[in-house]
Amino acid sequence: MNMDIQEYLPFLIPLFLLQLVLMVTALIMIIRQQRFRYFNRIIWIVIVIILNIIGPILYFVLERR
Amino acid sequence: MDILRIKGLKKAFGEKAVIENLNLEVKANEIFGFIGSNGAGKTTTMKMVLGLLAADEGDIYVCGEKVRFGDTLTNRHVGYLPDVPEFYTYMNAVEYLKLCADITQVEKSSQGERIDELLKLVGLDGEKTKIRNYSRGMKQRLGIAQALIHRPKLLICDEPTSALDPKGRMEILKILKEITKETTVIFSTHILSDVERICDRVGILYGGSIVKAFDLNQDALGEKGIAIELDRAAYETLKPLLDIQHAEGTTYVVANHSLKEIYDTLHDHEIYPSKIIKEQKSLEDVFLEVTS
Amino acid sequence: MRQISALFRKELIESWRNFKSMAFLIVFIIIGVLSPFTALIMPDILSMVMEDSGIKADIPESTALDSYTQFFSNMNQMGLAIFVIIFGSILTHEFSRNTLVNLVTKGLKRTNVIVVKSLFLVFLWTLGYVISALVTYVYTLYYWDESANHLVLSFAMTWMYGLFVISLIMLASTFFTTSFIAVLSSVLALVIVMLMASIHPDIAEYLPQYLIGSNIGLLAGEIESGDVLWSSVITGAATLVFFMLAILRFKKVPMN
Repeated sequence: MNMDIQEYLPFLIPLFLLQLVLMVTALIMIIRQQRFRYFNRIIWIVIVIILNIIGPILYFVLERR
Repeated sequence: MDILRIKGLKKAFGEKAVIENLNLEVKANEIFGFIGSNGAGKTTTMKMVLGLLAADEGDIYVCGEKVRFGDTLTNRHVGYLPDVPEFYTYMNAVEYLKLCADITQVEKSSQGERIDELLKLVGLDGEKTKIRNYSRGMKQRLGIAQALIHRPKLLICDEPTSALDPKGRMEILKILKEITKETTVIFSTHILSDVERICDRVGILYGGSIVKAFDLNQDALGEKGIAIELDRAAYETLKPLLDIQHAEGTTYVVANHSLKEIYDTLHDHEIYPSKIIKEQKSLEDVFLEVTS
Repeated sequence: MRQISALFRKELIESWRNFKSMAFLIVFIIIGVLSPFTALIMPDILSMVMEDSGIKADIPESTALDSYTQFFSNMNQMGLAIFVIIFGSILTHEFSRNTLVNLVTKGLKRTNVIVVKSLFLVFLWTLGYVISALVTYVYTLYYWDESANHLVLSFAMTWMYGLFVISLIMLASTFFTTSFIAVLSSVLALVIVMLMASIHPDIAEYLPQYLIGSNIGLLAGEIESGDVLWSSVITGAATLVFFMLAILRFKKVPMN
């Protein structure tokens, strides 16, 4: 099975990088944001880190109108 | 020609009639104060002039052109400052005014100049921050700038000073006074001192129509009466003879008598007051008179 | 024209600065990468699961068709849903925050508001969808190198369905001016109605819903291009009618 990881890298690397961009951007925006409409800074950070893709999307939709 | 003419305007929300047979004319280059208490229908009237709300009955003409609901053609003559102006908060002032200039088809070549000029007028020149970080007063000033971008013939302001502190209010009033050189201004308010400070003409909205419209000068307001300083004893003597009422302190006000009658009565009873003054009605007096 | 280009630029700036367009594109690229990946690892996962439970079975190697099947199942559900959630509020959020008042009172034509917002959504949907489809296509070509029937037509089906959904968002927005939730619900409601109606086989072929049910059939050669003609025409017509109605309705919306 170990050899498979090598084979899957062309998928895993872009998937990892795309998610990272999404998450890091959301985190930077959360840290810069002063007032929140829903929840607070800590809860948003947890949501964005724990929920892959969905977390950052939720943040952009709900907090960045 | 009248900049704005409203004839027989009517508007009801459901069962509740807000505007009933409102008639109004506003001439060029005056500042018109549109006064009425909260909920009198000032904002509703303005929104019908702007074609944002449909009128049930009546006609509105801006610069001689008929206003049609949902159609924005007459709005090219008009600038509008809402009571709480809302902006795209992710832009800065220059970006926002640039958008407004494009919407109103301001010549590309003169845009930059016009925007600089306006930002200087409202004191926001050199302000680089996003609108998101603006205070109420700054938003109100940017609101004036955006309303004037296309050099409208008519500027309509809805309660432009109500939510501001005294300093912010003075700034807005100063700007409004300044722009009447090229623009007619209509502004609604319930703050009468603002009206007295800058308006040329006033219309009082009450019960759904303009109950009184007049030039704002001493003659139009009329006399309230003659104020006289008297001691208590003199008052008691005069009470049966004159229509006299206590105002405050040692001041009493005589109404409905000519100056001669008053002097004669005083002379007959050998009363010689230290002060006799003709008192003018204040706007507040007139407002309370017609709305009660 | 100047109003249209200025407003379009405003939409671009807005969705760039709040990162929504970027987030949308990233998610769509992820769908593009994830689909062939899922198809590729599926046999391995299945055989592992079966080994664990002691069943001996021959799992066939996955094919290009599996990869596209994954793409359409992701795109037709999650992709569209994410698009609607991110951009469905494009008109309602302007209403609930009164930001259109300044522009409309300057003579911005109401028709242009609907035209620009529709164009902008069509632009984003097309961009995101084409990129996502291309990513899946390139991976599939590289890992399987098999041909499929009606490839472009099959991809076009979901794209057309997306346009239909956009017109629906615009129309619903002009009715429920301030409520994004109501817009979401009405889109969802129409999809559910169509799903229920398509239980009846006579109607099914004429519904927009048929478009996103026919992707795989087209690729596998089970459905011919003529079979999707009616549903395509009907969807196209409905989309245009919805846009027209949205424009007409928006002219008569009171703005408070």
